Amino acid sequence: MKKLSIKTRFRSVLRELKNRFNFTRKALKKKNKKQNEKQEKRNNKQKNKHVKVSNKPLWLEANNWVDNEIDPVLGITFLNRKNKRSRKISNKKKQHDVVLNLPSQMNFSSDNEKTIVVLSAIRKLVSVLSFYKGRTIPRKAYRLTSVNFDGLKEISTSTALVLTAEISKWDSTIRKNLQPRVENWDSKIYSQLSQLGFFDLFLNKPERPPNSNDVETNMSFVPYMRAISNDKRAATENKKTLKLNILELVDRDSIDKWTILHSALTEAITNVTHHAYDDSFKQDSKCWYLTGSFNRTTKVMKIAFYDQGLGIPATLPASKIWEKVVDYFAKSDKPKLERYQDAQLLEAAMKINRTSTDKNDRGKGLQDLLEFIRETGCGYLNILSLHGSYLCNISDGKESTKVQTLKKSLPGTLIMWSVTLK
Amino acid sequence: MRKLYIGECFSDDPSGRYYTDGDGNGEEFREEILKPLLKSLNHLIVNISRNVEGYGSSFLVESFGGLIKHGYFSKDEVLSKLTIENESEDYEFYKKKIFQYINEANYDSEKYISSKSKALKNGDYENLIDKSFVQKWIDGR
Repeated sequence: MKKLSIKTRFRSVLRELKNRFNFTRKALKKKNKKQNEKQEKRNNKQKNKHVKVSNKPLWLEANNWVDNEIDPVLGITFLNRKNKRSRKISNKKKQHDVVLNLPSQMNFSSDNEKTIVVLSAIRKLVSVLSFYKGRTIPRKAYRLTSVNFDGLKEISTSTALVLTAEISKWDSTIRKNLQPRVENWDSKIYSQLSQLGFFDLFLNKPERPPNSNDVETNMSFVPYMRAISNDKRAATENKKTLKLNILELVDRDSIDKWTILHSALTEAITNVTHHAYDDSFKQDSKCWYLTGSFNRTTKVMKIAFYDQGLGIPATLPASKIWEKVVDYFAKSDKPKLERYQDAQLLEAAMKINRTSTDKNDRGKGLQDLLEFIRETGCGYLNILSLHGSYLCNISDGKESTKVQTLKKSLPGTLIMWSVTLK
Repeated sequence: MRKLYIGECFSDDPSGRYYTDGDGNGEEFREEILKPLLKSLNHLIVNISRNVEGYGSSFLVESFGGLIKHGYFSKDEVLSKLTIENESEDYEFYKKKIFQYINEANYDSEKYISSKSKALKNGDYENLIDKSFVQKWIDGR
């Protein structure tokens, strides 16, 4: 018997194995192909899972956010939840229908937390409706069915504008189906919101409640104006209309330094066109809103401008002035941890052009917002955007600024000018 | 000496930086009015107050500062050829701004890339303003 070498033995074992298990190159290729296909399927499954996961958080996130805010500040009524009988009768889908109750006072000064929470709640719940537009909303998702104005007694000019903008967005989402029920509204609120043009939003206008004509309020609003961000003709018309309406309200032929305010509004509109909305927004939702008011007793004129975009602090890093902002922080003595908070970013955006001497000629527009109160010498400019609040107050020619981090984030950017007419 | 009334010859609401900001923007004013007129005329008076609602900084910096920034003229050339006129005290504010932007601009610091074709394509700019007077002035009519 011939003794086999190790090499020969290995070869014969390999040949035997190939014969037994079809262990050929072709078979190997086939096997690999199958494995790849399996892996691909697994990956696709994972991807789909990811899509489902990223879909879920939108309504889940809104639900969780609402649940977190219910106890401290948010006034919410869940339809068919309190009453077990009605729950039995009702359709299962309606178990998560919610009514938002507006607080008695809404303003961005003394009651800013409550005010922002209510406005954010409308935005979040409407974004769920908008996301599932034309599709079935998940059964457990909170669905905004009504906003209750009955408890509202006082509302500031800027809040009225933001509230109108949010309700307008909601109305557009549900194809102009909203119908205001005003029977139990406070007469003053009804009167002020009528002046603001709030009811022009709706195809189904309410009947005027009795005695609402007789309400005497110190503060009068001008009808709000809305335009798509790149519609320049509408922008020009709206600025002219605002001027005419304000002149009528204050009963004067002219307002000192109005041209400077006009410039400020122009720059606010240009900023919205350039920065506020990215491609994730639909073209018809890239809007800005404008209104004004006059208090006959205090002679205070207020102008409010609002956009529902990403917010100034969020858009700064991608803007052409970001380098200036970074440079501003590098030269400032602000603690590093505080530097990139919304309020600090707002302040930086307002200050950079006064300190910068580089080649870049951007960022001058935000300074324009301040010029109106600087020129009048008495009044304030307040900018609220996300968690940031920037207030520049001028009294007797002395300028002071206050930067504040808001507990709650206001979606978008709100700019307010307030001056006392002489 | 030619006098250009911005409110009557261009727009009563001049605003925006580029063509993409719509008709009556700073780039349009600079490229199609200011630059050709300053190139061919010895002196130009620009009236900034008549029939104008107000100006945004974006418009002013792009139109006046841009003349220097894109290397069309030096600061001295612009200052010697251009007179800014205003009939109302409110517009003194804008006159100061114009000179500030001219003085702050860095000569030939940015290559000019037109945004006109993009703006026309997207429908942001419609070329509504009649600027035929510019050629007439250049031709001496």
